[in-house]
Amino acid sequence: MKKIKYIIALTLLAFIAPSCKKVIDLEPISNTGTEDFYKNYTETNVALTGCYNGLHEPLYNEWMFTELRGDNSYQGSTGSSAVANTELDELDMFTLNPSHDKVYDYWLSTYKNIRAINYVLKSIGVNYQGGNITITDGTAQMNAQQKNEIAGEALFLRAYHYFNLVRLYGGVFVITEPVDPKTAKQRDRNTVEECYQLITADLLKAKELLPSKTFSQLNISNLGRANIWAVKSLLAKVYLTLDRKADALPLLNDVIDNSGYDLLSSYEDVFSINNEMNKEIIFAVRYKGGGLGLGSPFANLFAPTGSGNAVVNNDGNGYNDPTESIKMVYKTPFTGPSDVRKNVNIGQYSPTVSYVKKFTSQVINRYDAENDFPIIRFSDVLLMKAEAVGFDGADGTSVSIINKIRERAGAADYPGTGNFNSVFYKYPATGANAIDETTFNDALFNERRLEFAFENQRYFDILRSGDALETIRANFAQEYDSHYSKYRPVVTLEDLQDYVTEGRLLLPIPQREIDTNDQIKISQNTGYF
Amino acid sequence: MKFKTYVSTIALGFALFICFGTNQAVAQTRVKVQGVVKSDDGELLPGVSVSVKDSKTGTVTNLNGEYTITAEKGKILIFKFLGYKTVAQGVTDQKVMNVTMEVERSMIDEVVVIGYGTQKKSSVTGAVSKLVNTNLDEIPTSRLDNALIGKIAGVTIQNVTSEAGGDPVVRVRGFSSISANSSPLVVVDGYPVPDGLSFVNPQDVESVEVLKDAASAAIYGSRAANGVILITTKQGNSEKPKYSFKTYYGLHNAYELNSLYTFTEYTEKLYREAALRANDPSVAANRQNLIQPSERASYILENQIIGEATDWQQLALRNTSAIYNAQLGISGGVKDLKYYISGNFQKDEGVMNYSQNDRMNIRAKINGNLSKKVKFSVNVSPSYVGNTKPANNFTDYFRFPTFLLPYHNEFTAQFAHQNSQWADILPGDYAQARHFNGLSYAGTMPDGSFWTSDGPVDPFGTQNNTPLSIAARENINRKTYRLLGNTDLSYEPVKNLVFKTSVGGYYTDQIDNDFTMSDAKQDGAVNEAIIGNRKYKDFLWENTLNYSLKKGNHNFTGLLGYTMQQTWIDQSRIVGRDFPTEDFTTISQAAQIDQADTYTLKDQIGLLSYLGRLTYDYKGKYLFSSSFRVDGSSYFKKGNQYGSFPSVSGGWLISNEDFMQNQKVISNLKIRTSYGATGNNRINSFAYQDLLYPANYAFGGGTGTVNSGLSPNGALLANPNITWERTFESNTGLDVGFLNNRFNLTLEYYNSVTDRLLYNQAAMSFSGSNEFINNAGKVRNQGIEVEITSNNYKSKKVDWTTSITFSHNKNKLLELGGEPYQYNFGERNEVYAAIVGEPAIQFYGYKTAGVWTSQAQIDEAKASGITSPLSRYFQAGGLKYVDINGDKVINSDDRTQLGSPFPDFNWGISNSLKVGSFDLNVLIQGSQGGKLINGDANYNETKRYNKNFNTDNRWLSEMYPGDGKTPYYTNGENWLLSDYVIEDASYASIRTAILGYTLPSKFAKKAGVSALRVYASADNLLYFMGKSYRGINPEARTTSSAYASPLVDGYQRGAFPLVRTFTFGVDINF
Repeated sequence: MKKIKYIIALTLLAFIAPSCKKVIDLEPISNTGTEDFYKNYTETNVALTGCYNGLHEPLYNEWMFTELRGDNSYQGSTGSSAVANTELDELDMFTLNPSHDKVYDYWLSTYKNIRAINYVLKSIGVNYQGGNITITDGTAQMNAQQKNEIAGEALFLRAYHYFNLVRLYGGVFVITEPVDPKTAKQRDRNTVEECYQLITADLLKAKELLPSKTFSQLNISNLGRANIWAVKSLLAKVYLTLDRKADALPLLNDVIDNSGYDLLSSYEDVFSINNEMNKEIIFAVRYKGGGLGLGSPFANLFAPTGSGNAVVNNDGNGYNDPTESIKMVYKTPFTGPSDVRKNVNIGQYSPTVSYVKKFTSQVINRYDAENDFPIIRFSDVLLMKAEAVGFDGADGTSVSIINKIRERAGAADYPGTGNFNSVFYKYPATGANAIDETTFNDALFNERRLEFAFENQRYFDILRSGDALETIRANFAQEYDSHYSKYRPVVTLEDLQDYVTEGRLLLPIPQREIDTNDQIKISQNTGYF
Repeated sequence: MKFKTYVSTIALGFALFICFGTNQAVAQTRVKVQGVVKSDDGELLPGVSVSVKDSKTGTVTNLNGEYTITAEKGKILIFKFLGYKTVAQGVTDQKVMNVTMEVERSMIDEVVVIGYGTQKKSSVTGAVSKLVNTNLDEIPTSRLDNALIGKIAGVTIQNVTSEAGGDPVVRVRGFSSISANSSPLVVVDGYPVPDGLSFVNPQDVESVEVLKDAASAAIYGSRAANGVILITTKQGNSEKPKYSFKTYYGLHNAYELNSLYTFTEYTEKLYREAALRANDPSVAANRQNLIQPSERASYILENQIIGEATDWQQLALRNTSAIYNAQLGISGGVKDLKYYISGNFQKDEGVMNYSQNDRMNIRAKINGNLSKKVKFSVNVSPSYVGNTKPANNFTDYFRFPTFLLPYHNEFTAQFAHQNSQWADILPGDYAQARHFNGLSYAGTMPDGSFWTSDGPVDPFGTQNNTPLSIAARENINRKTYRLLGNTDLSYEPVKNLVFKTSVGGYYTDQIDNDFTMSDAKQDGAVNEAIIGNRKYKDFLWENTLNYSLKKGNHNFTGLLGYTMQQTWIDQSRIVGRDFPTEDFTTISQAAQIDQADTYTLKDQIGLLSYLGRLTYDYKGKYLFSSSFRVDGSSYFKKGNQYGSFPSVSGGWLISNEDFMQNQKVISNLKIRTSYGATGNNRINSFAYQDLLYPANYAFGGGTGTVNSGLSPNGALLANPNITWERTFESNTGLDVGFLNNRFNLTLEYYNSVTDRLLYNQAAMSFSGSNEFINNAGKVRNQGIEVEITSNNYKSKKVDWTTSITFSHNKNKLLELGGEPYQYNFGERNEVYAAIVGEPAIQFYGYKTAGVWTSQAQIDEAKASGITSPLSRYFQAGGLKYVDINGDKVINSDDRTQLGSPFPDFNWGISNSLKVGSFDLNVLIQGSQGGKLINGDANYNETKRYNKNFNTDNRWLSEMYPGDGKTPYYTNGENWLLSDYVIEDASYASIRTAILGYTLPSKFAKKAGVSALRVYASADNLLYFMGKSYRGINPEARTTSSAYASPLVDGYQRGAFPLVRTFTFGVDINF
């Protein structure tokens, strides 16, 4: 009988003693959950920093859609059958299908950051409804000024992403708060108009919220954050894209007159790693080298393949190879005034191999360069103003802006005689070479091409200038002999020019996105049906 | 007196007579018998009990199998020994009676290990397969799972990689869980060990039991849905110490390599093709000659500058790669203490350079009785594995052009010097593609013409160095230290009631030490060291109470248990770069520590469980069993943590019925049936909430200052509602033995349904992630398994046994959270569709009807109204996709199911033949009906040069359309998954063949050992692949990144070759 006691004692011990719930009620150690975060200014601000970090991933591929598809660059290795290169060929020649990897990567990485931004906005009670932004109390506690700053910056970032998406893919999904997988399948594409409605609402609200500090008043530790001038400049570009020039002009004048931003005297200095966030850079995606995971990939991505360490350590991928036409369009005669921008933008590795040099600085580790990537520069604001004003005479505001940009690039005054095109000149106010109504648009967009080469502006510029199809087809013709004819099997020029259609100016909605929704049949862009 | 004396004399005499006579008669009929007892394979048997029937006389054989006994003539001697058939022999005049005992074939009273206990085979009511280690350890592999291939019906083991020490994919009865892990739970001597199959040394294994049905596995509850593999290691059982020494040495070689063109052959082919096209008037002039300047230059490079083609495939492989194994074991004991100690060392070199796996195992097991009521055991097994991996995939070699040589010679160095950038190159340096780029080439072409390049040409534009030079400069090493220790104490306070408590810990420390020298992948790349560490600490405390009761014909057993398990995982990684020398000594010499790649991560997991089991039988004929387990887990949010997993099973041992006793044909007949529930918990911890990950950014003046940031940018969206997934499975089994169990047959039929599936469901990417974890859906697995053992022939000298395993599993997705399908994506966004009503994986893409052979054909199609948004669809020589939905538009709506990776059946046939002292074991094994996506065939670089992918029958022009099926490699659309790359994954192989010779014991004894065996074995002796398969290893699969999901399976690219191994081994016991 005594034994029974022991049994009972042992059994009870075994069953009761360790039944402490701590064994299974555990919390994550190394990562915080979203539910326990966004409680105050510090935490929400850390989350906002995370949203800036989220600018990097989409930018990695953006040049494929904005430079490669335009006339600034092509896939340089015509004999290559490497997957990475054939994918680029498909973009360059408009032969892609909706399963294209990079088209999907850009989509996903952009929406990933939109999600992070929406988390921040939600935590401070910023809602988008019926075309308007309203602000209520959120979960995060902070003072009004802090809240305005966070809201303003986050709204800018969201508008920036949607502006890129709508221009590349057409009407996309307007997502303004963290969305769960179930309700996501109830969402269909929004129209282009609805996308722009959000973009303008976000920017108008941000304009309202952010403080009006001039460049010299900016807190140096905040350099790199979106400020009111970035908001106004981006909004102006949105208006130009929507052909609302009259709405754009006051914004641009405001930036030019009141921001304290200005042109640097040297074009080269604008991109120097020793001069980051200078007074010409209104907004840039910032990179920082040195093994922090924050470095710029472009030095290696764009350096020539097989260059070893001659251009940059760890060799290059040879991407974004400058076309013959962009090399020729810069006026760099042996004697006389020359366009300094060519040598800043394009490097020459060997007699036959050139590369995009603009974002190159020496690296220790691959894809880890220092160079920031400019998004809005003061010269862009100036040229946008010229665009908004339109042609107002050969010696009017617009032409003088173009000439100001050319002057900084090394252009001399046209002496009135001689071949205007042989040397790098400013546009004269009179004579046969003066800009008139009919040549203004070409001159303006040509200037933008020279000024912003490889800054992911070109494709959007040719869309905005209204002659995208013509420009791309002309580019195929121009590059055919030296480049496209070298593909095997031979692709004819007619085929090439047929590949690009009005519908194909947009990227396809990723097939994967269409496939995933088994409840709504999501429409594909017309070029890809 | 006289009379008295007389009478008494007579009486005495009579008495004496009687006595004497009787005595004499007794003396005459009692015989002293002596002899030797041997087993039927000639081994002397010590410890055999020899007794006289119906008497108390008895003895045992001594160490040499000898016995002496005295018995009356006509009496019967009974020889009994566990595991052998009892022999009865009548006593005659014979003084010497040598006996041969036959191994008992009856499995009826074999003991099988089940969860938390053991059971007699005859009373098992679930589906449990047992494999006793007879010659598993003669198979030259470093892993136990490799040795189990084809041996157990319902268990499929696929060698997805041939790397030394690489993990195969192990599945029990298909896959029921579609979450991240569908591998079975592995339990080593009662302790769940996640990597048990790679941890245990095959030579220490006594037996492997597989709990296949849910009823048997339910006692392991939430971890058992994918089956449970129980590994029981050897233990000491004799009194006298036994020593055994086993060693083998083997050589590996690649079974088959890709058949590739040298570049010269390839260019010659291009010229032949150009000549043909020139004949065809339909070919425009600019399409006749499709030979590129870079190809011409490459031809000149290979033919005239370097002078020979380089076989890069061979450069990937070792000249000789060997496997060497040595094991020393000691087992024995004294009265109340038994021990088993072993030490093992193995060195296994893979066929590829820099692929190596070294292993050391020690195992010590002590069982003892402290008193009649208290028993204990201690089991400690430390191990070490050192693994080296090659830095390159095999693809990197076989797709590398043959016109590049590995090292510069005098001439090529001189040639590269033309370019001032390479002025420093010396003969003997690694040659790189870039050294030959940007130069002008001139030389004679295959058609005899002389060609001069029009300016500089790049024969091969690549940013990467040659695979050989990368592999030599990049070292990937992993050391894994493991220690499993557990101890238990059991106490039997009253008869048949045993309380057992066991405490154990499993600790692994995995240390990665990778060093990449400068200029490895690219020029200017700095050297880099990666130190990774993963510590896995697991603590388990189990308490069980066992009770058994026998009352008349009623037998009960009962089990109650409580267990608690906690796991801590600590990971860290440090990446340092730019070291002063190429000899890595310490990370602190790094000029730069990579902040983005340097991290620490901690994770913890907890499991609380209650379990129980009740079994009952009546006369051993009517069997019943029921079990339950309740698991609480930290994987889920409070409120969703607990799951219960009950089971019930029953059986009828018909052969024990009286009416079965009058026939001799059927010696064993049992039917059994079971139903149970199991679960799966192998998902990420804390998947019920979204987590924030580091996402820093630089703000501020100068180059900026790093501000710390966090972002919810994880790849997987959380779901707070997730809880246990459950598998309900019914199983019906039939065991039949014929002719004293000379033929045995086991049949199983099962039907399992898993619901509340935990899986990564595709999410709309615009929600910020393309996957979320969900708890919805149902999948069914139905199948049959057959195991047959037949002793085909047996005589004194010859013994031939055949075992056959066959398993068929049919997988069907029943429900998917209310959705009709889900697409899952691989590395090229190729679609693996999970479609409700179909097997859970369907390759999803276009069907092809050969190639467009002519423009006329295309025009005709266009005229009939066929259009396509695929811009290169209408191209002669390109693949012709079929308009599946008949809407005349060839687009993504025309994709359809192209096959699934699931085989129709798996099979294995082992034959064991003994002739005298020789034995031969052959395992033929295969898989039938599965399909795979040949990623290499879909991959342009290999498409060009691989003869298998690009036969001479490719399309050239209208006049030369080839076989009408093979596209010209550049024509048509790129990268769309089509049936053109879906191939048959079936195979059959002579997986292992072992020929052994055991020295007869009398010779062995002379040699001073108790047993000596030598053997030679061959692994993958012969291999047959499916007709449509164009690769070199139908078992290889890509299993990393996207392919880690069980729903994305059946893709191969860059497969290692199959490995054939020949081994010679010696086993000595003394």
